[in-house]
Amino acid sequence: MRVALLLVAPLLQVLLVNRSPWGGPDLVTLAVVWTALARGPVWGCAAGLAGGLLADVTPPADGTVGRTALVLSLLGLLSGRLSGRLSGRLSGNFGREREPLGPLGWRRGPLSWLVRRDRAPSRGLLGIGRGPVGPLAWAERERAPMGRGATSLVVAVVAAAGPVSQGAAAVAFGDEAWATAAAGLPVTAAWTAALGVAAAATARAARRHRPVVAPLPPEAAAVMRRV
Amino acid sequence: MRRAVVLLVLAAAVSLVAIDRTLAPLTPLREAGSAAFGAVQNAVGAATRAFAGDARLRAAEQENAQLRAELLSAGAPAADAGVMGRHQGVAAHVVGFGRQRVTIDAGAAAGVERDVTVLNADGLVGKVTWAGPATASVSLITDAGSSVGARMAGSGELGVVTGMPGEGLLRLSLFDPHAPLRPGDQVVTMGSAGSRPYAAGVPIGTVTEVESVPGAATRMALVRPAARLSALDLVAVIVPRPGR
Repeated sequence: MRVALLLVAPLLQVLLVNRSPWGGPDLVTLAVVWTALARGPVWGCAAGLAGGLLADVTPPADGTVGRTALVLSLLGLLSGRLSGRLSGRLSGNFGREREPLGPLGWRRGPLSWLVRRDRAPSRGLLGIGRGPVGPLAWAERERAPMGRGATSLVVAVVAAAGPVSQGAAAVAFGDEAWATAAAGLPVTAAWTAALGVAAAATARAARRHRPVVAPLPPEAAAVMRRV
Repeated sequence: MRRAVVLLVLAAAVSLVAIDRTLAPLTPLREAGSAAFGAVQNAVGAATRAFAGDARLRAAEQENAQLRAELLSAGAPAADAGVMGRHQGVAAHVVGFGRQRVTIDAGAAAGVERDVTVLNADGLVGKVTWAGPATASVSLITDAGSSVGARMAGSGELGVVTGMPGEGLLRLSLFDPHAPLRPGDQVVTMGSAGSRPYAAGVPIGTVTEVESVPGAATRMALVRPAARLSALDLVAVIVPRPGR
């Protein structure tokens, strides 16, 4: 399903969405962000590479091959990283994201001092100064799952970042003039963000209404066995 | 393991970009994409036209495109009078839309090459930026990166027309700051050497607003494109005649 979506997204984009007079979303970004939120950072990164590469070679694109692939694989990695903390188990592998690696995989290793936190009780003057704290420790805080509003905001920002970063890359690589890249960008970013939030809300609602088969508690299972 | 996969994917993306930009353009990859996705775009375009019931007009369209290309070049100055002897018109349909770029359903197989003129019944559309096997990418004149040598139809003053993507308008800069210029004046192409990328005498648009900036080095005006670039369908490509 998601693979099919990734395959047809560039085609639908050039056949239908781009000829709409009211602008439209960036379908490839939506497909990549959806994959990343549902399957985690590795799948998001791979989907970004595949979808971006297809978008790069679908005519009438004639810029650098791999430009969109690079941008979208980074976006897929980022949104996959965020997926574990979004509300309502939007992500299928909620909770499995907690691995002993930081957001960039540096909780251990030569860069671990960046995220170091000293949990020792305060001994300093007036309780200030808990020892050295790494400059990126904020990224390593254990965080509770976000609320629904925060989740929608994160999805909107990540989705809008797709067209914006693609436009920035097109200008940076010299494939498009600045004015060309900027012309429809606000409209496209708004469409993508709105549809991303709507899709996330739909997925959340569908997941909530799905009947949950809870495992029996152990004592009940024991009773069942005896009976 | 998962870090390795992620790093591998990112390295693949970076190396694609690096190879395409520095070592050799990834033309095979682009041709494969053009063959696969371009074929689907052509098929969808053909199906849409068949559904609209104008499939039988195809032959007439082809002839029409050739005649139009000849007619437009007939009005060209004497220096380029021989253009149609060396060039011919190829009819094509716009099947895909991008940012200030469109796909047409004629490619290298029909003789379409890079940097040739694309026009329709009303005027100049753009130039071919890349020709695949059965499709070609066309950059529109409203693209901010486009600049077309222009000539005023009445006074013969020379200038340059550049694109303004946001408004769908063009900006005309005449080299003579004192040149006469009025709203309603027609702008045509000046023509390039060998008609590439632009053939001479193709209508570009009509002056809608003259900007009067005292002391400016050039005479500036806004031009409305003659072709409706937001609703393109049938276009003609002026390609070199094979064997010349």
